[in-house]
Formats: sequence, structure tokens, C-alpha cells
Amino acid sequence: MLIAESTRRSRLSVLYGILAQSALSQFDANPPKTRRSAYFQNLITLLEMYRYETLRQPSHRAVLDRRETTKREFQQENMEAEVVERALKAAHNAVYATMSKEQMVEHLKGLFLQITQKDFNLAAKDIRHAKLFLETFAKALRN
Amino acid sequence: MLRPTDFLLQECKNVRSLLRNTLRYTYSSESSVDIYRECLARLDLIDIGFHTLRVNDTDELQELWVQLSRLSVLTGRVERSHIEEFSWPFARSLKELATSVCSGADSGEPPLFLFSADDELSSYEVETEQNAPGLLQRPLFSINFPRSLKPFVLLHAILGHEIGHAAFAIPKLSARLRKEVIDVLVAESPLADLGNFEKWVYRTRSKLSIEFMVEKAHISWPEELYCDLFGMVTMGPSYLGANCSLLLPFDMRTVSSSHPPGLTRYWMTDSAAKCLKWSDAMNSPPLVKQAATKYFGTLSAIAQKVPRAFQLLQPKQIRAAVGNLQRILQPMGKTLFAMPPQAEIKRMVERLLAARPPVESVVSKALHVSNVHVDFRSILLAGWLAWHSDRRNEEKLDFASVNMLCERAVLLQSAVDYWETNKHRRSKSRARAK
Repeated sequence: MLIAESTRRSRLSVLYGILAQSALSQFDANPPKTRRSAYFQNLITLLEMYRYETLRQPSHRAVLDRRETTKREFQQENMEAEVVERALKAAHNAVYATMSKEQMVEHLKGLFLQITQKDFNLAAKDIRHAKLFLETFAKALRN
Repeated sequence: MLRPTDFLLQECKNVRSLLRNTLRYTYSSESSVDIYRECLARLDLIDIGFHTLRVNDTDELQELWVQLSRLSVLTGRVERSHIEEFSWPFARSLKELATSVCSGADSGEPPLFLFSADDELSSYEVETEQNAPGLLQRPLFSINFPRSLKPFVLLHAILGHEIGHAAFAIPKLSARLRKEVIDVLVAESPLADLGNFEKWVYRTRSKLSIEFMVEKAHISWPEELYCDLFGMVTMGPSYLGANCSLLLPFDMRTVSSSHPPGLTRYWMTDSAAKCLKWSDAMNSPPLVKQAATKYFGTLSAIAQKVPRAFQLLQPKQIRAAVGNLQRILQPMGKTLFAMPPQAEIKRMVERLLAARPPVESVVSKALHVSNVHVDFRSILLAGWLAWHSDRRNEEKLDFASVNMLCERAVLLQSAVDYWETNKHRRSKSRARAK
């Protein structure tokens, strides 16, 4: 094999960092029709995973697959999920500290869904907070 | 030499070209356009990523490369799926079932299902894109069949287990399944606590796989056991036959991190079948009763020999978990298996024993189709019963033949359902033409 197996695996912390940065760039998309709703839809799913605490769900093997997950794979998977969860918590505490997990997810879902519309009309404060949330999340993923 | 970004952008073009080639084929009929569009949307998102990153963003570039590589694999699978190395009538029915579970559970866009076949015998799988969300528009569940088992629809019932994993990948539903099914199932068992579970593992003196990890097993086993229950309540009694037939060749005592030992699964599914009272529901006519007694009896006989140490769960907890799972799935369309009337089962088994497909239709000269709608899971049940019938001529009706007849029936029923669904549309267009 030309490339080490470990480099062929997706790293959630990096993937979600790309997602957050891409979403941030969409706030200023000009013209608005070039705005891509996919980034926000994916962020909504990520927030739902945070809300329902399913981020740490390990990957599973097929029903008849008898290959074992190696210790390394298991630890890597756990570590990645932990980094993402911690980063979401950091962003939550930094921007929406007064809101519960459920309240924050509902609030951001509403905002993100509006942003995916062609012409969104949101309060400047809401936009500033949403952007700060994504920036804090992306930064925490890198640390 | 190419710069990293140049090489990756070239790769994007290559995958785009491969994707364009898939347009030459029709795959999974109704969802072809949607799957093509989804792949294209993913490629665009990756492409944008490559254009915005700098050369020293090495982690991000590598991640996009991984995503592109996955898309390339997916494109290959899409392309290969057109040769239909799997039973497409069965796949069509399974898609309806999976869609009702996965769409009913989430408010977002319904997921897409792609069917394909792989060469390994252990290929039965639903790849749930567990790392989703990511650079995608709609989640895509890839359902795999083993190529060599193409017409063996009775064994395909095992995919009910895999649909359970697909349901578990949906955050909101997953939270409910964990609380109301998994936690209830493992309550009062060693699985409820990591320390007790570890003691249990070593007490059974089982053969541990080299890479065994007690922490991983403690997380994976409850989900796997729930998936077996999910397979049972959705696919019906056929799940038992498929599960047992496919698990038996493995060492039933081996303890691995990914799946509970076969003995434990065997015992649990037998207990759950008793809770569901399937055997009691097939107590007449004699043809059905005999076959059902033999079918469930064979499975129970094996389950009764399971050593106590492997009977990991409490029967009352299994009953409660099954009840809760049924309650969760009840509102989701026709997800749950419903026992067909006994007369219907008898008719289907008799047809099979006469080497005819279990479902038949009559088409009149005026193109009136008379057909009693039969769910594909009832066809599978009739297949398993015919296989266990004392009246089966062993030389003339082997396992492959029973499967082929059942596959024909699933195909016929799908065609009739399609005809029925589109009847009104046809008559409207005929009226317009006049």
C-alpha cells in the first residue's frame, strides 16, 4: 500500500473545522444565490448529535464481519469524538452560556435555516453571535 | 512535479469525469437522478474546499483527499450497481421499509439508498455514513448484498439487523432507542456496568479474539443486540432463519469486541420470538402448524442448549425492550412485521410446495389485475415454512429453488403494486389522449 492506513481515515475534528469555516464564508456570500445550504444543514445535524449525545457512538462492523477494530482505531475514534464534543461545549459556553443545550440547538437551527433562504433578515446581534459560535468552534477544534 | 493542490484539483476533475460516465446507466431505477445529483453536490463541496485551502493547510487537504477518495469509491459502486448483482425486487421492498424508518424519524431531507453487491460472503451491510454530517447534501445509506447469494431472499432477511444500525445513526431516534430499548434490554444484566461485564467475560472462559477490548465490547454489544431485535420486529420470523443460518458456521463461543457471541444472540432471539408469540399464531391449518412447529422447534432446540453463562440478559427485560421497540416503530408506516392470516400463509406454502411462486395474479383481457396484496415479509415467511414442511419433495425443491420462487413472488408483487399505484395516472393520461 502506497499510503499508511491511518492517513486514509477521516478525522472528524478536521472535517468539522472545514465545515465551520465554509459556513462562516457563506454569511458574506455575494451574490446570495451562491450561498450553499449544505454547510448549514450539516451543522444542524452536528448540533442534533451534540444535543442527543450521539457524537461518541462508535462505528460498527457489518452483521457478519468478524474483523476486529484495533485498539488504535478505537482510541482514535474516541479521541476525535471527544475533541468535537469539547469544541462544541467551548463554543456553547463562550457564546450562549445562558442557554441550555436544547435551547441553543433550537436557536441555532432556526438561524441556520433562515440563512439558507435566499434573502434572510436576521438581527445583526444574532448574526454576530452565530459567527462567533462557529469561529470559537473552529478554533477549539484546532487546539 | 505537480503541486499538492494541483494534483488534488486534477483528481477532482477525474472523479467528475467518472461520475459523468455513470449517467450512461440506470441504477436503482427511481433514485438514479437523486443519487447522481448527490454525488455531484458532494464533489462541488470538495472542489470548493480545494480552491480555498492553502498549500500549508496539510490536515485539511488530507481530509479533503479522504473525502474525495470516498466519493470515488461511491461512484464506482453506483456504476457497478447497474449490473444488478443483487436481487433488485427484494432491494426495492427493503428500500420502502428503510425509507419509512429513516424518513419518519427525522425532519431533514430523507436519506438516499444505494444498492450494490460485494464479493465477500459477509458483505451484508448498510453503510450508514456514521461520520455524517460532512461535506454532503443528503445522507446516503449504501446497502450491500453478497454477490454469490443474489437470489437467496430468505437469507436477505438478515438486512433487518443492518436497517437497525441505519435507524440508530439518526440522532433524535438514536437517543430514544438508547433510552427506551437498549437501556431497558441490558438492565439487570452484566452489560449494565463495565466492571460486572468484564468479570462476566472472563468468567465465561470464552475464546477471546486477539484484539478484544472490553470497553469497545461494552459499547458495541448492546447496539448489536438491539439490532437483532430490530431485525425481528421488522422482518418477522424470517429473520430468525436467516440469522441462525448465517451465524452457525462461526464459532458461537468466540467473544469479540464488535459482536456478542453467537450463543448469546441465538438465545436472545429465541426468547424474543417467544415474547412475540409467533409460533402460537400459526397453530392451524395442519400444513402451517407442522412447518411452523418444526421451524421454531429447530431454533428453540439450539437455544435450549446455550449454557447459562451465555444467557446474558433477563427475559423480562427482553420482553420490555421488544414492546418499547414496537411502540417506537408503530407510527412509522408499515415498518413492523404483521402476521398474515393463516389461510393466506397456507395458500402460499401450498403453491411453493407445488413449485410455483407463492403469489399469483390473474390479468383479464381488459387488463384487470386481481391480486391479493402480500407483503414481501409474508412471502419470506412462507418460504421458510415451505422449506420446513414435511410435504416438501427434497429432490425437486431444494433451498435455491425455494428462494428463486420467493424472489419471483416479490418481483410479481412489486410489479402489481406499481401497476395499482399508477392506475389513476394511466387512466388520466388515456383520457387526455382521447
